[in-house]
Amino acid sequence: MGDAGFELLHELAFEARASALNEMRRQVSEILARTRLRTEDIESIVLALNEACMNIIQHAYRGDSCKPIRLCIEPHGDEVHFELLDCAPPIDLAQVRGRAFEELRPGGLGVRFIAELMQDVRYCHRTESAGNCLRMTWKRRPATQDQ
Amino acid sequence: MDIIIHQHPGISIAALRGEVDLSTSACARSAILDCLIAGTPLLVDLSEVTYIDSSGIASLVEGFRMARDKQLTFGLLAVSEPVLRVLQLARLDQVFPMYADLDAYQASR
Repeated sequence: MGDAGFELLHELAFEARASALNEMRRQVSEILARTRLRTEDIESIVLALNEACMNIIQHAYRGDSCKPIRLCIEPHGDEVHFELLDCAPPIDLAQVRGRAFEELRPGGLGVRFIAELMQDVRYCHRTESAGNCLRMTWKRRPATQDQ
Repeated sequence: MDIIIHQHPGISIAALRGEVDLSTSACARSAILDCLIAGTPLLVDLSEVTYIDSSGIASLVEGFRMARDKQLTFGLLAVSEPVLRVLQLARLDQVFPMYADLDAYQASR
């Protein structure tokens, strides 16, 4: 077993609705709390996943729907791997880009948050069926002297 | 999420409580912009906000921009730790005027 705690594949499925995000966050926090991740790290991961789900709801499904989102979580040593799957029409991968933090305007922050909070982020189209896939890896940062 | 608007001499305070996310940020946005459209200087009390995502941050940015355009005061009051971490992540902690409490705001005038 690695430092991140137990290593099991967890799978969550929920509808692509804004009102479902609260429960998603609660479940992810509960799963990650069983690992040895710090509370601050769990909050960062939950924020990144929330942003990714928001993007699926708003941009892939184009609004609330009862269509599915599937989230797989796999702690593995000092890393946690995430896979988010939807059944929406393929997104234009070239259009997935956040705005610069220096631009003071609403919108475009979600993709930047994900890029800041996760160490590896890959968007792709699903090959086994219609839809999109987002794979993200969170890695524990080396402890600094004051930690 | 709950929103309570308090009127003080010369300024309104919009106190948000709970989680500001995709399902609630539209209400926060409306409350903030309504105060500013009415020409009221505004502080947003975030002391009891337990979670905020980019949609909530976008509501604050919209308020900040509208206040700037209308030359009205806009600031954040008693920012909770979870909100502060997201503001820092968005590099906005140096953009929004932030005050520990109403006394600190009034002392800054």
